[in-house]
Amino acid sequence: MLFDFLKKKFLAFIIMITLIVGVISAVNNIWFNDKTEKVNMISDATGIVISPVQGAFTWVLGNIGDIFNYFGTNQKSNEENAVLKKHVVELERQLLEMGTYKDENNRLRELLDLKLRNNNYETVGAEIISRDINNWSGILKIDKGTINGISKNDVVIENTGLVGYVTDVGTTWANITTIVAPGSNVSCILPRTGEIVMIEGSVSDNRNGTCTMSYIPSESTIAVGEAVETSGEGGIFPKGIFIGRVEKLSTGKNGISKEAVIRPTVNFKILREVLVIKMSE
Amino acid sequence: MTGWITTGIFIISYILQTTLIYKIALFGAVPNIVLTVVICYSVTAGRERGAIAGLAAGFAVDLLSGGGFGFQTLMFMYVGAMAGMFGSSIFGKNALTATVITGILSLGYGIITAIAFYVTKQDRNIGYILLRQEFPSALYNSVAGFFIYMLFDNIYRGFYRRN
Repeated sequence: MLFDFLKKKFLAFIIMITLIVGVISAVNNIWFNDKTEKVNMISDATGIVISPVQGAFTWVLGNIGDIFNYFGTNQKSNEENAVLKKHVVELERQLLEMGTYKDENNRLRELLDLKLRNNNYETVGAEIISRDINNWSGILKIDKGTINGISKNDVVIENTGLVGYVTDVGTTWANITTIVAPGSNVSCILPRTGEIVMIEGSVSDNRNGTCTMSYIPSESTIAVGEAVETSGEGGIFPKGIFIGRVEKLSTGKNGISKEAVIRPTVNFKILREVLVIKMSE
Repeated sequence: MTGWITTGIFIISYILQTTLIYKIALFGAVPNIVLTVVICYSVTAGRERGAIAGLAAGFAVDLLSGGGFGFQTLMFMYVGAMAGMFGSSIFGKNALTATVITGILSLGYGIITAIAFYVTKQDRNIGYILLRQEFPSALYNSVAGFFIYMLFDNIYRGFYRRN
């Protein structure tokens, strides 16, 4: 009977649904999205049901992938390579930290986020259980939520660097917008020169695992290989989280300023585990 | 009975899309299995059922993706309605129709998504999105659409034969 009705009034049905969804969307996006810490009840409930299944699929597929990698490559070389890579990352981090401490003065030390540097923030470990349906929106879902103390705008890192921040949170799950996601903006600093710059994500960046740094002043002495970390401005990311290094420099689209491609230390294509910093604590 | 099977296929396609599909990217493009399932189902089921299925699938995607609500709901509903209209009413229900319609509607979905990204200033590089992402993805969807249509066709033929 419903479908008989739809056959007669199909266009009216489509228009009616469009108007209803449009109104709901406007109300949700304008009124509720920025004002609520948690997603709506229906999203939360759906996420609670689906997330464990996604987690199970990801766990199984991840382990199957690991098995193929084990047989397909030289296991010993891989293990040594992984150890050496971790060592290099740690050395780079220490070098960067030493360089920053050298340039600091007492007034800046009081303003710095010392808790983060001294690892006094409480963190929660989480696993990536799924990606967004479009696969190029740069949104990841983790298996932790408000029940684990996670809230909106919590910063997400990996042991090598910055991943992103929490944009939606449910009871047992949360969505992270990565720094390579389209529309993502992170205020950064070049520790060597002290310049404040902005990095952005885009569809191409998300695909390539990079970020773009635009509108760099032409007189800047930025160089390839230069380290980039968060500046602490913008209200979300505390100062001092390592992001990555400059991979490529070019002239900007306006022909005056420079543009740089930043290669984050985090490999978003194979990212499986993250740490969520509980910013509210 | 077919309703439950169809719902199960939608749920499985969503879970696979969010957990497995990114691993089978070809030149960076991945198929949108959920969209393909909506289109192929709509070709077999007709305009009205296709619109309802698209509405439900898009609503679920919006709920689970977080952020802005409404875009996927409406897009999937329109795609389902058009797939049903062209499939069952105009060109007939067959695998070739499903394959071609999947490609065309996937590309249309991708164009509108790229425009939405441009308008909301998330990414102004429409050319890149269309050439490197959406066009290959639409081709990928077409190939997947052939097999998914055959799945739906076998399910419904088997059901109606037994009943």
